[in-house]
Order: sequence, then structure tokens, then C-alpha cells
Amino acid sequence: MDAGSRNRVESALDRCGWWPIALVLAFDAALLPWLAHPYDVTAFLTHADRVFFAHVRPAILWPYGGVALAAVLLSQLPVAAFPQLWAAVPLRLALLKLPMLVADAGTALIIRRYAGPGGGTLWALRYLLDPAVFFVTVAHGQSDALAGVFAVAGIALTLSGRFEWAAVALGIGTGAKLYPAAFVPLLLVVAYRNGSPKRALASAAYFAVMAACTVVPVVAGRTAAFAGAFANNSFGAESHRVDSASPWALLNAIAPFLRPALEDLAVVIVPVALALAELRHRPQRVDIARAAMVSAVALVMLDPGAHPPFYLWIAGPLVLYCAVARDGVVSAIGALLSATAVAMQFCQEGSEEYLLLNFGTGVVPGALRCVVPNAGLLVAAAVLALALVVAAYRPLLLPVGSRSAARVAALVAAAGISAYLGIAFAVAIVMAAFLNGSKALGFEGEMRLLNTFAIDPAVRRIGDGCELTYDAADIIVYAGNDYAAPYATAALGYTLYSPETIVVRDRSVDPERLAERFENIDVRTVAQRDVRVTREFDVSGPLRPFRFVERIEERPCSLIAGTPVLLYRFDIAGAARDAARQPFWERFRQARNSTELRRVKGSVP
Amino acid sequence: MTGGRAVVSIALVWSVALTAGCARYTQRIDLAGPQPSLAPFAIAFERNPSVVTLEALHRHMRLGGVDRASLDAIVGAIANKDIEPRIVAAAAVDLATYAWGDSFATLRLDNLHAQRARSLRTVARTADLAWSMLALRAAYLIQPVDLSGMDLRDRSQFVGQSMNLRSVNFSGSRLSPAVWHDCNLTWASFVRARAGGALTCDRCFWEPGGQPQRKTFVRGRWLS
Repeated sequence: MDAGSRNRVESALDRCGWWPIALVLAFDAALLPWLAHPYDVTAFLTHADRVFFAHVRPAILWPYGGVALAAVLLSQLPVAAFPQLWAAVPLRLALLKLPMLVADAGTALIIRRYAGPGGGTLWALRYLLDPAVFFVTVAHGQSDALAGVFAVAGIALTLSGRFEWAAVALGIGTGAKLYPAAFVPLLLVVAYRNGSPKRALASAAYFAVMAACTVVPVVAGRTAAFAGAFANNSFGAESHRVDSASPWALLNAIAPFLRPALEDLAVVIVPVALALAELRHRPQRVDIARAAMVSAVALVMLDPGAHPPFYLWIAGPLVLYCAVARDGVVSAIGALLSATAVAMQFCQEGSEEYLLLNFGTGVVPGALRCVVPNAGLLVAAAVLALALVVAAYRPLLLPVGSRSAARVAALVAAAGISAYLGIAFAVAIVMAAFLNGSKALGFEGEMRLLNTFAIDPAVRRIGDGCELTYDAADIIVYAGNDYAAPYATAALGYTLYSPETIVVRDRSVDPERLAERFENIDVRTVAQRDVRVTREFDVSGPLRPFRFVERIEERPCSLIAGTPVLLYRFDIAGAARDAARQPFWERFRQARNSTELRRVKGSVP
Repeated sequence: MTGGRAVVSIALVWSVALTAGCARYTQRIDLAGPQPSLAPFAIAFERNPSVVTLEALHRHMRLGGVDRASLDAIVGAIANKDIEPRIVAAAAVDLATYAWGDSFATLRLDNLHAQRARSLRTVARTADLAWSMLALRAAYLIQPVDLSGMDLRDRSQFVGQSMNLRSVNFSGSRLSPAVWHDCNLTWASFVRARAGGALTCDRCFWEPGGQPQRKTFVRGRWLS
């Protein structure tokens, strides 16, 4: 391909206007109702359902910021109005993913705008066709794209010297996921060097205000839970866990002396160090975009808790850098890194789960099987990330020309991988629709699973028995309101039951006289331990109204560690069914006037 | 003391300490190896199955320290003695977790011997332990389990409830009449198995990826 024809590719794409972008978005939109990560997506949907049908306060049990919460709730409003749509899985998935698709389109447009004269459409397409972008938004259904658009907007506004607006964008992005905050040190340094100390201070203030506005409403009143989770992840039982998508897993195998706290620190230090390095000069657009991209790479690659979808965080800053620097080599390496992340996800969890919610189990997308061991993919990811950084800094070391062949090749590579993913999933969807359509759908099972909370007891010996304390403060809060409580049940779950007597709220109860059921679920994860439950006894009656902390005496003591577990279940399907009997406005009018409703006195102190 | 003597003395002391240390370490390695005789914790449990001896048993099994002879003793104790149900339940969890295959082999032999000896209580105890362990079998496990020829009659409520009985060989075994629910019976063998009455399995699976069905066991075959 000669230079002229290569330029013609870029100009031809520019001449096509919005059509190529619209076509890719249409392709995404056609696939997204049929695919979803069962756990992640059901967690979002069930959260919206609890708010709509059980009138649970929106922030309760929500682990992200206010922007992501607003996106979930607003996207599911049609289901709030018409609860009959509760099990219309494709519609719900499409609604849930719509904000993310819009966010991706927004990111693509920002990149197009900042790509400079000519070639904008190529870079917009490069972003939209990035394998990680396609996979996370279309197949997985996580909300990373939402944070991504604000992160890219923040970086882009920094490039153009609009520091205060950049701070606002990053502040809002922090309300979606926390990672856009990692670009703030760079913003402050650039505002200081290219603007003034006053503008740097103003940017810091704008960011603080916006981040507070989007995060505080969610965190307020739950600081203990957030602090507990942070302490557990950083210093507690979870601190030693390295996710299998993080290259730390490789390093820990050969250097076990590395401490998780050090790993966490690396995630903070690298973006700060990159930002401080820009103090040496008045940073140009390319310098800023490169520092932001390398920060994003460090953020993902050095995070010991990185999941494959996190690799989307790299895509936006990477393509923005490539568009600004017109760097096809980094773009190509980035496409391969994203593809590696997608392959990692398939190797860790399998590709068939993406069809579970719509089509049940059974169909495995044959073209998306795991073909390389996860360790091999981790090595590939680490090498690619390193190559990416080296390639990004190579113009500083030796003069290299801007080759449009590399830019087009990178686009072709990204498009080829995403098209392969799309076609493989499309074939699997068609097969599942024809071969597997009659089977029980996975949606309701997944909803049940997510609305079951298992708590293991703190055991204290008393005389000839044991006092079992179940602290469920942070998970049964939904059971404290008038709407939700009737849909909540409680059961004692045993690994193997042997006859015993329990005393619940001063009442002696023989469990065998209670309604029982036998679980067909292998294990429940309780406090990061797997507990097998084979038999349950319904203790909803004795435990109503539910309390944050429940104390039960058992005689004699169980000799099986961690049992009996206390299982709280919330019948979300039942709540939706009952909600469907009343019009939307009447339900919420009643919620405001709670005295008309049956009070569950003392439900939760 | 001259410098040379001091060096010789230090070297001597070092050598003695090193030799003694190595000898002690070698001894420890020897002790950690497989023991042909019964492990003390197994003997203690066999003599007196109690909460205290069970705790010792649990500790050792968790560390992987159970040989076949000890396992025979543990299963034998459960089969032959009247033990508190919660101790049996906890022991079943340990046996299923740490010695699945060998425990079933021992259980089966004990059950067959007890049938020949017409020891009804031993038969009942081994049947109950076998069902307890089957209840703990994870849904994803597919390795065969041989229960052929066993008398597995047990009227306990939990029998046949949400169990993974895939590739379990019930050939020639005796079963109690009951209604089982939500079991996976894929490739389970029931050749010449007998149920002394109506045995039905509701919402059960007989083939991979199949639909849940209700079938009744009639003369060695499951019929819709």
C-alpha cells in the first residue's frame, strides 16, 4: 500500500461522515440484548428491582458511585412503570446497556474531535471496535464505559487547556467508578504548568466538589461498611488474593515476599509519578495524552484485583493518545492487549455464561473456547503492556515517522477481532434460540441466587449448648421496610443435619417441626469460605420481624464448622408480581404515606 | 586460648550441633512418612468416638494424615457403635471431604460383611453414612461411585433429596421405597437393584442436559 492510498483510507472514512460510526453502533445494539454476564448484570437489575418493588433506599447495598446508580435506575424505569416486564430479559438487558452504548459513542466522538485534522473517523472507529470496548459494553454489561467517557473527556479537556471543565468531568466520572480520579494529579500538574497555580487550585476544588456530589450521597451513612470493605481488601482476608487477570499473580509466584499493600501502593504511585514528571516542562498535548495513557495502563496492570473487564479502562486513554500522536504502533499493541483480556475472561469463566440469562445452560460458543492457559495469557498481557509503554515513549528516544499503514493496520486488527467476537456470539445466539429455547431460563435462578444472603455464626459456648450470633447488619437492611419485609424469608441451613433443639427469641423450637427444603446448590460462599448446605429449615416465622443481629441457641452444639448458616432470601419475583397489580403512581404515593401500610414494628432497630 | 584452638573448638561445637540437628531432622522426616500401623488418633476414635477424639481426627484428616488402615478403623467404628448423630455427621463431612473414594470402598465392604453376618444395625449405620456422604457430593462431580450389592435401605427424610447420583453404581443394591426429588441420575446403574415398594424420582435427570422428569423404579428400570 503506498502512502497516497493509505491517506486515502483515512480520508475516505472521514468522507463517509457518521455512517461508519452509526453502523458499528447498530451492530452493537443488535447484539447487546442477547448477551450478559449473569452475575454482574443480575446484580444491577436486582438492585433496581429492590428500589422499584420493595422501596429500598437506592444507596443501600450499592457498591459504586451515584452516576452509575442513576444510570441503572433510569435505564430500568420502564420496568418500574410496568412490572410485567420484569422477566423480559432481552428488553431489560438492552435498557441496562443503553447508557453504556451511549457512553461509548460519546467517547468515540470526543476522540474524533481531538484527533486533529483528518483521520478522526478512523480513531473513533478504532475505539468503538476495540475488543475490550465491544466485549464489555455489548457482551458483559458492566458500567465501565460510563466512567470511561468522563475519564476521556477529562483528559481531552486537559489537552485543550480547559482545566476546570476537565476537573468537573473527572469528578463526575469518579461517581461512576473511582478510577477517573487517577488522572487528577496529571490535571493539576498540567493546570499548574500550562495555566497557573490558581487554576490548579480551582481545578482541585471543582474536582472535590463534583466527586463529593456524586459519591457522598451513596457513601453517606455507610462509611463503616465501605471502610470495612476497604480494610478487608487491603489488609484483611481478601488482601492476599490476587485476581487471575492481574500480572501480580505471575510475580507473586516467583516473588512471594511481595505484599498486597505494596501492590496497592504501586497503583497510586505510578500515576502520581507520571504527573510529577510533567513538572519538568510545559507539557504538550502528546505529553499529556501519553502520561494519561500510561497511567491507565498502570492502573489496570498493577491492580491486584483487576478483572478482565477492567482492561476497558485502558482503551479510551490509549486511543485518545494514538489519535493525538497519530501512533499506529501503540494502537495495534493496544488492540492485542484488549483481545488478550477478552481471552482471559473466556478462560477464567467460560464464554457460555454470556448466554445463560436469555437461553439457559447448554450452548457453548464453539469459536470462543479457551485455547491458551490463563498463565500464558497473563504473560502475554504483561509483555504487551510493557511493549505498549516502550512504544509510547519511543518518539522521545529516536525519531520515528508517523506511518498511516500502522494506523490502518491497527484499525483492521481491532475490527477483525471484534467482528470475530460478534459473529461467534451471533452464531451462538441463533443456535441457542433454536436448540435451547425451551429450557428453563437462567434469569430467575440467577435472581434467586443474588437475593439469597448467607451468614455464618459467631459461636460462643454456653453450658451444654452454643450461642450462635448472626450479624447481618449490612445485608438485611432491605427487610426493615414495610414493602420489602413481607418478601423476605429466613432459613437455617445445615451441611448435614443432626437432631438438635434451637432457642429463638426465648422460644424453644424443634427444627424438624419446621418446614424444610433440600438445596440443590453445591456451596454458598459465606465470609469468603465455601459452606455446603444440604438441608434447610424455615425460621421466617420465629425470626419476624427481622433484626440486624440475631442470636440463636442450639443444643447440642454442631460439630461442623460454620453451620448452621442463616439464609435470608428476598422474593424479588413475588415483589414484582404484586407491584404489577397497582399503577406506578399509586405505589409510590403509598410509599410516601407509610402510615397506611402495615408497620413491621421493630424490624430493624 | 590461642586463635587456632578457638577456631578448632568452634568448629567442633558446630559439627556436633549440625550432626545432632541433621539426625533429629532425618528422624522427623521418617516419622512423617506413611505408617503401616494404625494412627493414634484413629485408634483413639475407634475406642471412644467422642467430641474430643473427633476433633483430633478432624485435625489430622485436614492435614492429609489418614492412611487406609486408619480409615477402615474410623468407618468401622461408625458402622459398629452407637455414636451420637452429630459426631457421625461431622465425621461424614470429613470423610467426604478428605477421603471420598477410600471411604466409600470401606463402607461398601463393611456393609457387605454386615449383610452376610446379618448384623442389621451395622447395615443400617453404613447405609445412613453412605447416604450422608452422597448428600454432600458436589453437583459437578462425575467420577463413578460403587455401591453395588449394598443394602442401602434408609427411611431418613434426606435420602434422595437434591443429590448428585451421577455414575453411582446401585447394581444389586437394596433401596427403600420413597419419593426422591431433584436428583441427577445420569448414568447411574440400577441393574438388579431392588426397592421393597414404590420408588419414584420427581424432577430428576437421567441424561446430560435433559429435561427434569418424574419416573418410577420398576424391576430395575426407571419408567415414565
